[in-house]
Amino acid sequence: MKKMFKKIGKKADFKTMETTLIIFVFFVMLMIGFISYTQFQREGIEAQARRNIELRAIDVAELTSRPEFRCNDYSAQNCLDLYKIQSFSKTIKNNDEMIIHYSEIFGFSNITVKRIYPTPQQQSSIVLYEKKPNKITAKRKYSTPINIYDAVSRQYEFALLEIEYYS
Amino acid sequence: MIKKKFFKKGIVESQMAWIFILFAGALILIVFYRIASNQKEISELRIQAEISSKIRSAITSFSTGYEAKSEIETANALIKNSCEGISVKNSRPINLNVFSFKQLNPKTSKLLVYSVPWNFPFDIDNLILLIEPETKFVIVKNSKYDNLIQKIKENFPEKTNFIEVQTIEDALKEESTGKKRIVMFEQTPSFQTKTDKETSFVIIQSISGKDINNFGEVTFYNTELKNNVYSVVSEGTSYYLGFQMLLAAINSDKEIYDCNFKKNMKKFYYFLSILEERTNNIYKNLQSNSDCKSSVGAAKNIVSDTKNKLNDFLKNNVGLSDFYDYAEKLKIANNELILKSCPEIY
Repeated sequence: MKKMFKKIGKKADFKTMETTLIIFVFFVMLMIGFISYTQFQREGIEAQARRNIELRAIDVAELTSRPEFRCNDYSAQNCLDLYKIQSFSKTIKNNDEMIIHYSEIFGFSNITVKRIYPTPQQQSSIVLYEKKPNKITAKRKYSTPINIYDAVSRQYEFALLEIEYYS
Repeated sequence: MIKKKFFKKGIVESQMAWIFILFAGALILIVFYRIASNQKEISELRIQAEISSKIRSAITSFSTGYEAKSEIETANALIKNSCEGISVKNSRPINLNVFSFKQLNPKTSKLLVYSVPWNFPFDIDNLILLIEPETKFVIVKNSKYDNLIQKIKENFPEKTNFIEVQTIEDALKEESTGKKRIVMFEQTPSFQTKTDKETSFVIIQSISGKDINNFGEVTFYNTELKNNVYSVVSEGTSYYLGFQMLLAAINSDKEIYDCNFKKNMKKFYYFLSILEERTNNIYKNLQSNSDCKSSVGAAKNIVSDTKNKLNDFLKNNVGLSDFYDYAEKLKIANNELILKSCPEIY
């Protein structure tokens, strides 16, 4: 009888231990799963925040209103000064500090002005700025019609402003 | 005997089971604690990213707008401004032209964003002022500078808390729920002045022969805890160039102001390099019999001289007064070109 009780007691203890062990293992697995989940979530948010910063590139409206490029006549909408853009393009090529400064504003992008009409004899495209990431994973391109003003001939030209964003 | 042994063994087994249950219970509690704390961390991170992106888009859209004003909800996030840029808690700093106090009050739920186009003598870039609505700007009146005081008040956003007082003692008595910035003209606070840690001072001083609206000295004073009393300590003197820079100095710590001032002067130098190249090209492309040729030729030299003066300042940190004179000459030369209907410098 005693032996039987002892056997039953042992069996009950074993059952309790087994249940507790199952609960223990379950929660350990839950914890591991949850830690991995939160880790992925955190990495996702951080990556998104990083991407938001890196993807930040200038938009058309911002570019045409920057004093470095815009026409002196404030009333002219979407107008770039031909001599300003030509000078900017030439000056930035020879100045590393200037490239660093403008890369904070323009990000990874290529900004080009294509002169359409009247067709110029030379320099039909003016590359204002170009900076590419080491590895391009995606790119988007926008182009918009603009005016460019020649301060010497006092004439307006029709052009296309092309902005290519890289990420 | 057997009964006793059986009983003892039962107690030990039962104790072991309870210890095991306690251990498992503690582990379960740890799991729930970790879940809760991780969720909290993630939601904070998400808020940080959201506020960061909100600040970034507000500020970048203000970089080109004309005197744009707006309010940003900050959800009591810890926002810091440093030479590297503005950051929310531990997020990566956003390097923009932002003038503010170094540490923004975490109790603030809103920030006023205000852009002022820095024009000296032409538009160079927009300066962004980030103002806490709780900050009180106390101006100590000086009849000599009534017009300038009025101009300062008018050029800050409407919601800015400005107050004018007669004396420095009155200024110190003013209560504020946030920071208190005391603005004085050609006066120096006594170094014995007892104050509190949220109070700071800027003293604006003219430079002989120069228009105080556009060029002058600004001395920053902060408070330091000495023998359980906050006393006034000088942080040093900086310059301002253009009225908009003066507004920026009023809403900045010295460290932030100096850093951004230097960055803006560099930007100015790049702009002058572009204008130098532009004026040279215009000069080359003008017909030799053009009436504008000589005027543009003269302007070309002024642009080069102004650029060289700025370069001297950037390299040696001296000669800003000379540069100011050249910038004035540039303005006159540009106006002359406009009068003669010739291509302008800027």
